[in-house]
Amino acid sequence: MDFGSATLSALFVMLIVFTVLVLLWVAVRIFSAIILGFEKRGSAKRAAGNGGK
Amino acid sequence: MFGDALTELLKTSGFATMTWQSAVMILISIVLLYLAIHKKYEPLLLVPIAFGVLLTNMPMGELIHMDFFKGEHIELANVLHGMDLEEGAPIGGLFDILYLGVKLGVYPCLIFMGVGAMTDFGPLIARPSSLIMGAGAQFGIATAFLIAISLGFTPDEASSIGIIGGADGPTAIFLTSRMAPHLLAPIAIAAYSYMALIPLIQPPIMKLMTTKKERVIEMKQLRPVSQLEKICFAVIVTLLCILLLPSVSSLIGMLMLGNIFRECGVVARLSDTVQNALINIVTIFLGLTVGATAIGENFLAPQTIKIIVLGLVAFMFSTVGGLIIGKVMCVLSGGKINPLIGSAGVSAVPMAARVSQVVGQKANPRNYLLMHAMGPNVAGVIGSAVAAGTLMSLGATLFASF
Repeated sequence: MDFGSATLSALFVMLIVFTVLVLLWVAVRIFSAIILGFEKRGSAKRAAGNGGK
Repeated sequence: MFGDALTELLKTSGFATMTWQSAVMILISIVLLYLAIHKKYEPLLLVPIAFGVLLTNMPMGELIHMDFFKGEHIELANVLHGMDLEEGAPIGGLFDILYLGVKLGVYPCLIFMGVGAMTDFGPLIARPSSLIMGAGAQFGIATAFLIAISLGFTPDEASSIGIIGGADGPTAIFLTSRMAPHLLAPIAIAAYSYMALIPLIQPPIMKLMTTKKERVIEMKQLRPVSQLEKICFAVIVTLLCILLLPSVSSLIGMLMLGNIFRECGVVARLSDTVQNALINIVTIFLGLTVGATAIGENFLAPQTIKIIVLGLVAFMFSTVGGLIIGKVMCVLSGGKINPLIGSAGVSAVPMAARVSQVVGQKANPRNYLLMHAMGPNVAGVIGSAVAAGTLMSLGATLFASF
């Protein structure tokens, strides 16, 4: 394997690593937002319930 | 008569068959034992590795037979019967049986399960942008790969050498046992030695790459992360990584299984076993057998020196890669992120995060970067596993096409 091909291979591997981790970043942001939203709603409902008593 | 008996005894002893390579390897094993016991350089791994090196180089010990594991083929009958079936002579082979766990990629995955059970992914979930630093810190893998190719190593060997830059012992062993098993001993020893030397390797690079103004940046406390988020994280990482790269299924799968044990809160016994008893047992087997592959005739070759140097290059460039991403994120966040946490992206949990903390606190005594650095640090574990999976799954196709 010559140096040019090796450079392309190395760049390709780094590209895949970055792509997978960026996708994970996006996925974590989305599920965190959903879970935090649910938890906020739940605590707001509980607070409203306690106020009613 | 007694003289003849003594001569005969000496002839059949190990002294008569001792080669200079065996003698040098025994000396190396003693140095490694010294570094592990006295200097405390990764002692949990280095003590069994050093003793494995010692045992395997004892003349006539016949503890391991690498011929049984050449290429992708395993001579299972010989391994299991403890004898050469063609010759019919018993040939020992305790380590032949233990080495199956390395050859089949079992030990690194079990260690990953233990690592998962010991790791809190909370800091990473609280600041998911840390994942990019974990990706940047794999830069050393690409650099060492390129230099190894230019030095004449084959693509498979270069991949195995490059993965030292991931600073992740089990991943390095996993990849090397599949792609270049003949280089397992020098790569494992280089990986674990440099991981132990992180407090010496990283700080000069960190100071060189950052300004005083950047090093003093104090970061806001991370938000608390709920149990539900941590459980969802383990499931989502497993799904996404394995769907994208099936070759990482065993590494990432075991890492996240260990983490689920830890976070779900209903299998405390399993979590305890995985992060204590199991990981300790597997560490003994892994260390001993990796050390046992360091047979003098193979290990004492010019390529070992090249691998040791390339390993250092890989570590240094991985640190640089993490710091560059850290600096970019510092700018993008308006100076809210201290770039020193980027160097922790090289895995080596939690040593690299501790180094970020120490260097940050030297610049500003009120700086507490440890928890912030744990984010890129655990991201690096995922990043190096992804890099290994990419090299394994795409390597064959890519390398063949060039």
